[in-house]
Formats: sequence, structure tokens, C-alpha cells
Amino acid sequence: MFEITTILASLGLILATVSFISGLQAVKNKGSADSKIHKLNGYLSFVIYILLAGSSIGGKEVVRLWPVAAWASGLVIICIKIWVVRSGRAYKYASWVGIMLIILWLVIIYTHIQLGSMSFLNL
Amino acid sequence: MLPASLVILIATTITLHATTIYVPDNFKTINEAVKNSSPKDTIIVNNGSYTENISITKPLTIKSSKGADASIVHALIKSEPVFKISNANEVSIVGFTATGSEIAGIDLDNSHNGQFLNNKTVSNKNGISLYSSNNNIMANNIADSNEQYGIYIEASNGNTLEKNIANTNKDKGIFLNSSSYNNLLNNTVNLNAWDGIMLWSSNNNLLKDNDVLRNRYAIVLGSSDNNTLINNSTWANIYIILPVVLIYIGILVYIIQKNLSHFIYRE
Repeated sequence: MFEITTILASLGLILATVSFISGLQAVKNKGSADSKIHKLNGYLSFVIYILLAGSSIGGKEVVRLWPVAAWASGLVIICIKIWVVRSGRAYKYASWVGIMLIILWLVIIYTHIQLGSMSFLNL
Repeated sequence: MLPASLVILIATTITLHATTIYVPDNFKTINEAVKNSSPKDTIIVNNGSYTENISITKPLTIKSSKGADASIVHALIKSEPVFKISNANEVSIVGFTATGSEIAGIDLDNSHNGQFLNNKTVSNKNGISLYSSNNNIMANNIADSNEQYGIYIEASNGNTLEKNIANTNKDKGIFLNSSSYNNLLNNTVNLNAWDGIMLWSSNNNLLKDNDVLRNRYAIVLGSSDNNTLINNSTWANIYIILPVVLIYIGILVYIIQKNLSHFIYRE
């Protein structure tokens, strides 16, 4: 019934949600457990993002600019998030970048629900 | 060298069998081949882009040699269908892309027992249109991104639509109007602006194993009786519900992970 991309995107949104909540809690409580949960789920959701991007772009006969640009933009947001947290610069904006990641995953899940590669945005 | 039409005429006369005509080897255009063919002939069209409107009024088989992506027919006169089949029985059209018509990619009028397989009818007003045409088989066609309907069937009975795709049309995916005893099997009808499948004043049709997803309305029946709907997928609003459910699952997973980490690290 469900295609593999739908399952991967669903898993990605779940992990991104866990990472987002644990990230907020880590900032609030300075707890190492939340920090570990945040990192673990963040890495896993990043791997799923790469898998989805690879299957989406690699699965098409003709590589078009728009999907590549869209996936690359998502990757840029992820990199900014990691840079903001690790460098300590603009740390107060970390939660906003985190929200952008959740929105990113909502877009991904919306474009992959049920129809797999035949999505509304044709990514 | 004898003219192509003469060769065909001689071949037909001698063998008294259906002839195979090649485009563009024997005739440069498909329309020319159709005009010079006899009933029951087969026309094989090599890959290429053709700009013409093809009118068929006799039993013919028209096939592309390398499939719909390789043989593309654009409407020369946009106010005419790309393939117009009128008052003809047992017409087969296999493996073409028909595009650019303000009427339809493939248009049947009072034509019966035909087969329309593996075609792509995109960016027309209607992808495939049937009027007063019975017992035709349409399978593995793609009728996407048309201005109105993917497949439109009016006053036509006993047709079979199997494994067709009618996505992202600007009105309805498949529309049966005053048509009965048709079978819609295993079709994919997604992301159409209004109804996925609509039956209006249509009775005794069978809709089985169709995927009808993310349309404004999935399957709509109006003034229609005795239709059988079996195992169709119509998850119209899943795209709204599923992300919310996934976020809730995410919160639950966080709580589980938090408790697990407490248990493991004794924090």
C-alpha cells in the first residue's frame, strides 16, 4: 500500500520531531541525555534526508534543476542549523532554524505521502 | 521504383491479406498512410515528432515502433482532436503521445470494439474522449495534465478502462456521463483539481481496485444507480491527518527515549 519513500519520509518526520523537542529541552535543562537524544535523532533524520534526496533525484531519467535546487536548499538549512549550534554564534536563533527543519520535513512528508515520487511538487 | 501506394495496392490485391504500412518509409505522414490504407491494415509509425490531425473512419491498427515517448503527435489544427475515430469499429491505437488539441488527444465518436493501449494523452482539453462508443478497451494509457478531463465517456457502454493513469487534470480524472456497464479496473487517479472519478447518470458500472487519492473529491456518484465499488483506495484527506499523527508519534518516541536514557544512564 505505502511506498518505501512514504515510509522513509514518515520516519524522518518522527525523528526530526524527537530531535526538535530534545534540542529545546537540552537548551532549557542543560541535560546531557537530551543532548544525546537530539544528536542521535538528528543524525538519523539527516541520513534519511540524504536517502530520500538520492532516490528522488537518482530515480529520474532526466535530472531537472528545480528538484536538485529544492533538495540542495534543504541541505543548506541543515548545514546552517549544525553551524549555528556548533559555532555558538547566533545561538539564540537555533530554535528558529530548528522550526525551519520541522517545516522542511512537513514539506517532504506532504510531497511523499502515498504517491511516492509522483508528488505534488514533483520533487 | 514504384510509388509506395502502388506497391501497397499490388500487395493487397495479390495476397488479399491485411497489409503493413510503414511511416515514414511508405508515407511521410500518418494521415497519408491512413488515407491510403485498406480496412484491417496495420500502420507502423517509426519514432519521431509528427504534427497532424489523424482522422480514422475504418478498422485499422496504428502502432508506434518504439512506444509513446518516441512517437509524439502534436495537433496541427488545435480545434480538432489529434486522433479522431468516427463511425469505425475495431480500431487500435497503440503507443503514441497525443498532445496539443483543444478537443482531445484521442476522440471516439460512434466507434466500437476498439483498443487503445499504452498511449499518453497529455496537455489537451480532454485526454481520451468517447461519445456513443461501446465495448472499447483502454489500458495502460496516461491521461495527465489535461485542461478538463483525463478520460471522458458519454453515452457509451461496455467499455473497459484498465491500468490507466489520469493525474493532475484541471477538472476530473475520469468522468462517466450517461454511460453504463463500463468496467474501471486498477486505474490510478490522483491530484485532479475536482473529482477523481465521477459517475453522472450512469448505471451498472464496476469500479474495482482503483487508487483515487488527493483529489478534491475522490469518487462522486450523481443520479447513478446499481454501480459496484470494490476495494478502491480513496484516502482523500490523509495528507492532512498523517503529518499530525506523525508529530504525535514523534512526541511519544521522545518520551520513550527520555525514559530509556534515564534507565540506562541513571540520570
